[in-house]
Amino acid sequence: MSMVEHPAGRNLTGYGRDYPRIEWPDGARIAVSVTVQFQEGAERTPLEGDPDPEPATEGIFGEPGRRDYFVESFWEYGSRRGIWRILDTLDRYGVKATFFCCGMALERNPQAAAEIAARGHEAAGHGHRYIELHDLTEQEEAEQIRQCVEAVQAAAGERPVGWLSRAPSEQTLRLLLDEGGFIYHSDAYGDDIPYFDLAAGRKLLAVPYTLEVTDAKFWTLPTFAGFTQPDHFFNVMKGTFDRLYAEGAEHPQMMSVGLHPRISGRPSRARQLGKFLEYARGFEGVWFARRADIARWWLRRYPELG
Amino acid sequence: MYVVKRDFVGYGQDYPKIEWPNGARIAVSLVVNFEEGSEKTPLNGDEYPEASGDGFTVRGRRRDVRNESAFDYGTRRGFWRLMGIFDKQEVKITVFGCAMALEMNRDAAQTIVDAGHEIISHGYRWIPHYELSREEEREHIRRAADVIEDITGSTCLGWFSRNPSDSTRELLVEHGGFLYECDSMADDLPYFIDVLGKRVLVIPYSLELNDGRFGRAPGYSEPRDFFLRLKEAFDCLYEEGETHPKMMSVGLHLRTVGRPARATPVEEFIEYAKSHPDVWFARRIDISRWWLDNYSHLPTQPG
Repeated sequence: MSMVEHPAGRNLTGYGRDYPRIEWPDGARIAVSVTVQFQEGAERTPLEGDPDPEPATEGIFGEPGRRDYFVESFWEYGSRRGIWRILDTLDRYGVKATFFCCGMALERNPQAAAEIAARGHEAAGHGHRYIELHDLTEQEEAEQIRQCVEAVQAAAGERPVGWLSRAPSEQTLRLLLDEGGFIYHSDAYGDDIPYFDLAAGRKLLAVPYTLEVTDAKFWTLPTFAGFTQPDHFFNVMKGTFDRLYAEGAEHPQMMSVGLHPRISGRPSRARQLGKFLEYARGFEGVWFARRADIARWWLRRYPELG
Repeated sequence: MYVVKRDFVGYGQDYPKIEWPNGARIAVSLVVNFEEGSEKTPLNGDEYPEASGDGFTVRGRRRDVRNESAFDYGTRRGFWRLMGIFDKQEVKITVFGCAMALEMNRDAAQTIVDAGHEIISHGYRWIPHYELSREEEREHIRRAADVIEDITGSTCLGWFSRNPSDSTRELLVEHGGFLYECDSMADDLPYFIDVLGKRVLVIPYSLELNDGRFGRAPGYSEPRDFFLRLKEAFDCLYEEGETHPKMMSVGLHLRTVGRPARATPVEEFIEYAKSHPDVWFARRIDISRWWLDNYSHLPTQPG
């Protein structure tokens, strides 16, 4: 274990003491970004040549080296049933979301894929397969990005401008810039409001996401804590909203909510999103925004900030 | 050679009836751990990345870029949010500071000092000390104490390890200058131990009343769980404190309760505790000095 000096490649100070007083459209106090990760069909299974079944499940776990039909079935539910519940809930409250889409998930369910853009949501990139990018060679990773871009283009009629990885590698940012066409990425958890990340001397806007305000906390692995009751998710959404809305009186803020069709699309959990949207809609100055809208606003208004 | 001793008796049946300043029934020690940037990552020369987090860490010999970014949140945003809460609530806290993290964020470190909070050492880096050789550990302790001294302008008086080694206690005594250490969860009151013939004051800490349980299972599922746990412990100790005043430790992390929804139970707990009479929000150095001034006659325990 060696002594080390300050590492390069991370920014641990950010905006610091003088937090910027930014403005959102129409003087909003908070921008609320709802994201839906459409991954079902792109996850691991030996059927696709993966050595092991997908480790993220509803609570029973497959064995290495063989398909697990229940695990596969949990995932199929998301695409067959869950995504429609979420789409309908968003429609009911008139909220436009960002769908981070795996290319293979779009290809497996063309009906749902077409509906994302048709209902006014943003289709953004999330890898072709739902796998960790850091396990790939650079060439494989670039290929994951390219294939995803093509699938989103085919399903939504335009190329994605945003990106989220299952788990990014050290090269992901640079490869996104090499691919071109992206105006933001969300492999960023370092702040509440957007900031710029640097990769090989080039800037890409980070529209931050969350590992806390996400229904994935219903599906954490057994050694980690998570939500045990449906309203825990609502409580975290409400608690986050309340504090950021209060802070937003002085310093307008941004909030992320993460959803997965196979998780929040299940009946016991499905109503938490609607409850939250109903709650947040009751306040003045709330901007429900797709990430592309947030990014475009930021790039226009604050190209030099952060 | 020094061997860390164990003691299953402690104060025993005749629990000391101590007094806190102004007749307080309970001393509440809020601790903020300042670790972000000094945790494990291949960027810092480590083989593996940090494994703790919000449930989505990765394995293998590689950087976990996502978890690093979630840690960054702690010093970038969480720190300032929590400092705002302590200012507003007018409570002073103890910061367990990893020297490397403080060095990378001197503006935050200065803010801690200017606000009147206490900074003690949490190691040079946020790594288990048992992974260090004896020589490396000696060097980490020296360097950690030097950085704290550079930041605060005075000797580093306290210590808490991520995970102590067989040698930590001995090396702390060898280094000298420390008034107290916190590498124990074994009591509700401070106590003295013997380390190589030297009397060492231990101010116990808690991994139960600790926001680390938002990550570990079984843990806090939602923000309110943390408030309820803190309230229950406070109620118990406050009740006992009517006859036998007690101490309560609360462990906080910038990347954890610095997040919006989780900052709220911390603030609610402070407000709840403040709504009672005879509650002393104390920095560990204040507790240590009070203990040394008033309870030096209490027996030295084996360990």
